[in-house]
Amino acid sequence: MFSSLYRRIAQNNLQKNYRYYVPRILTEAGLTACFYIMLTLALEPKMKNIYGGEYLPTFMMLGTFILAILSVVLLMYTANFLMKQRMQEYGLYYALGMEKKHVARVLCYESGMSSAAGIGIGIGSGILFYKLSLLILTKMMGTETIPKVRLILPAALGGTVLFFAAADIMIYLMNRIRLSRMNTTELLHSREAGEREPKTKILLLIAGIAALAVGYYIALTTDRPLDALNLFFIAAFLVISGTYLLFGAGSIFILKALKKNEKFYYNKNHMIGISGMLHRMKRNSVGLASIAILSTCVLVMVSTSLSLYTGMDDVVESRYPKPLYVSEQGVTKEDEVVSLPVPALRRALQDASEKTGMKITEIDDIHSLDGMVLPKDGAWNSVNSEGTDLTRCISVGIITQRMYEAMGGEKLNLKENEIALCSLRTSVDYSMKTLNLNHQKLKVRKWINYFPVKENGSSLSNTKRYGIVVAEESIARRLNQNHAFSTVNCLGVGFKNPAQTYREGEEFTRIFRQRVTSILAEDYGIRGVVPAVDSAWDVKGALKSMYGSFLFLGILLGMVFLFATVLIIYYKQISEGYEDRKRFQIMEKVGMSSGEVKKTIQSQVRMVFFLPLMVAGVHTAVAFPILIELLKVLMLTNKALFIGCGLGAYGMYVLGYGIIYRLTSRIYYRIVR
Amino acid sequence: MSILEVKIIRKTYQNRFGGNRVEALRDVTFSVEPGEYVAIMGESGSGKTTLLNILAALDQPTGGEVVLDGIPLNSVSDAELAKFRRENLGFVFQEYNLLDTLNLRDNILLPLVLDGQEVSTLKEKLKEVVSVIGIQDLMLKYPFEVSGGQKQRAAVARALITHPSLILADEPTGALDSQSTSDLLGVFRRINQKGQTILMVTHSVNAAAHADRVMFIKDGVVFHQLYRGKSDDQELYQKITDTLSMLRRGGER
Repeated sequence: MFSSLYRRIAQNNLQKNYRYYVPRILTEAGLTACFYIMLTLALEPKMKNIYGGEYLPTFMMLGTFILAILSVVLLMYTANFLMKQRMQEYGLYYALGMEKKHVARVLCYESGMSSAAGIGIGIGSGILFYKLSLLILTKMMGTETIPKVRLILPAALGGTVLFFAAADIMIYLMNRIRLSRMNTTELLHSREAGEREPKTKILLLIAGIAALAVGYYIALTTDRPLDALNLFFIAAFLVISGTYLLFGAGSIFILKALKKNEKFYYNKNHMIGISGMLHRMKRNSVGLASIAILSTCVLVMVSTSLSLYTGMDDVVESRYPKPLYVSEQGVTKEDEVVSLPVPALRRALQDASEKTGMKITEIDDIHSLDGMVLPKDGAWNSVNSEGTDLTRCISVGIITQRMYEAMGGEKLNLKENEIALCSLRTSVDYSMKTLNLNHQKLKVRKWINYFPVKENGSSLSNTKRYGIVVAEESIARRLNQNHAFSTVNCLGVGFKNPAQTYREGEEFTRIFRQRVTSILAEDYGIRGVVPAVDSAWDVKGALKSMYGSFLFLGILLGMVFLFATVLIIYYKQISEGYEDRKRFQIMEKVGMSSGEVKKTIQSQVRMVFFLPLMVAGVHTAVAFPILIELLKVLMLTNKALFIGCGLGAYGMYVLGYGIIYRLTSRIYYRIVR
Repeated sequence: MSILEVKIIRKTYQNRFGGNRVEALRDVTFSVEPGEYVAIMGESGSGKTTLLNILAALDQPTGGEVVLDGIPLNSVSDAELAKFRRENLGFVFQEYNLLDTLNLRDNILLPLVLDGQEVSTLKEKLKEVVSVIGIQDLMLKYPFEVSGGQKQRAAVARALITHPSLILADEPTGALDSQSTSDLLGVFRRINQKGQTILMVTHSVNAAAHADRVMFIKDGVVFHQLYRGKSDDQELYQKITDTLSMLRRGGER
């Protein structure tokens, strides 16, 4: 009988505090839904079978993990906020003679009901939107046949419910401990406690400036793609800590400096604003810094994944001047490399062309050198792959300038004994000015980002690899005097209408392979050897499914981050509204017209909410140079596209943020009035 | 000439559909001379807060006219009203109404800052007011750091700093303990002796007994007035108590 009383009280409380609880429930629902969708995509076994789906589970698991962290943080934030707002109410229960355990029971019912509602709605909408997300994801990945998946995956469902229930229980226990530590009077007066003007924390200020400056410096000066990868996280960490520190210490420092300036401070447009901001910033700096960071994350995530996705065709085209490369060497079952007759390959290509209707425009014969060298005393010398510690070796590919240009490389204008170097895979020593390779002294004229020749299968994947462009055929021959390098010969095939989809291309490749096998067997007596085929559509298909899932993840997480931002803004608006109401009335009584009061408050609120957006914009802009370097690792070099995507993302974000601001400030004014 | 003239003020509240008319004030007429210290007494619901709001130009009367320092309040445009209020009226409220984000000094200076006065003027006027009120040591404290009495003295200083024609005090001692109350009433008396006109709404007999004249409001009309004449605080106190009990008996009639 009594338990139903507590339940009724709890129910009543939830209804009364709908302004706080509805957003909380919606937040939990949104997080649960996204979490459920991601987890289902990660665990669905059929997803692996779609083309390029091998890394989908990993991607989605990563997303789920990020979401898990974000969810806990966000749920704790809302719980904290709610507790702070409702301390007085709980204090009243104590004052009215309820015991701690009774209040705890009310709290338990409240938490339980809001949590159940949130998780329930979340799972429901998760199931509802799962199919839609699957459609969007597969569309982005360029999958032609959508896998038939089960509507509900029990493991994902169970995992989601368990995770969120556990998080809520943990938060409930924390709240309960907090509540039991407070005594009645503390609870009753918790909201009225005044606050001193915050002190300037010089050390934090300096630390913040230093962190931000170093972070920015790294972001702006890193100009080597592979260094960028390592430095990005350091820079991000520094900028994030700098942001938190500066939002707290920095804003207070500036405001205090303004306040010290009496002429500036004692002005009707400044005094209330500055003192109000001083108090606001103390309490809001963490929230605002979080908004700035979240916004930056959204912007970086969306602009990178969007430009990767849209710039994919560029990447493939720059990598593959010809859509199809057919190696003139094949590997037998005994792992022996045999040269294949070029006429047979050409004939098979023509046959495949006729069958598929894909008209071939040209077939280039490409030659390059490939092999392993051991760096020792500043000289690189070829080694025999047997009996050498291959992990200490460097793999090199060598082509001539003419070949490089023919395969889509830039014009290098190399003179004799000059080379252009391209580093593949790992970080490199760019200070290298000369290269002593197989007793040939070569001058490094230029570092390039593009090297068109595919690696021979023999080198270990964890060794360094350099692409070398030499001036002339004669140099290449001199480098290969002792025939330590293997010669890689292949045919580059150009089409009038190259395959648009992976499926079309696959069909061409299949027919070509069939024809080669039979021609080789019938006319040349070579059996059991298949040439290696490397095609743009293959890569495009792989990239599309990879970047497609990346974009999907970016957008989904971006949405969640935006949602988190909305929530923080919303709660801030309400709590500020209740606080400002009294100030508003006082100012009117003291002799400000309501128009002036409104203007003053509006400008403060605007400052508080648009500051993070500005900071996010600056952060993202500063992050761009390093991101551009990072994207070079992923072969995307189209700066204009990336900047366009960034600006587009920022524009969209500002728009969304503005709308949210307007909607929430309406609630704010309703409270204040 | 009177500093404040209240001529047959009426105030009727009506709900939106025209029903349920409530008369908060009917035919209130009185005037206040320069340098006078007037207390208005009345029980809750007698209409005193309505009257004060009308005098403060926070509310419009349904009928009648209020003239402050020769200027009819209804002739002041809405745009100038805030400025008018700032320059001519000083307010002291029961709830102090200090901004919690400003220290006491800045709270006191607020009306002048809103008026756009020079920093040197601010300092001068601050010094002058603060020495009268006696809160020099508290200037850099924030409202939550000081006692109710101190807050209220700061509020009085804020009201005084513009040299208003009239100070309107709404239950200024309502939230204070007895010691702070007598301190504050002492402050009121001091500033009144320096020539400041004060109109105080209160239901504390003790507070009212400090005034030169006490008006009693009941059911929206000025029911009775008492002048101090030659009596001291104690005698006036007695008279007020008598009047109140008479009023109460009259209320039961």
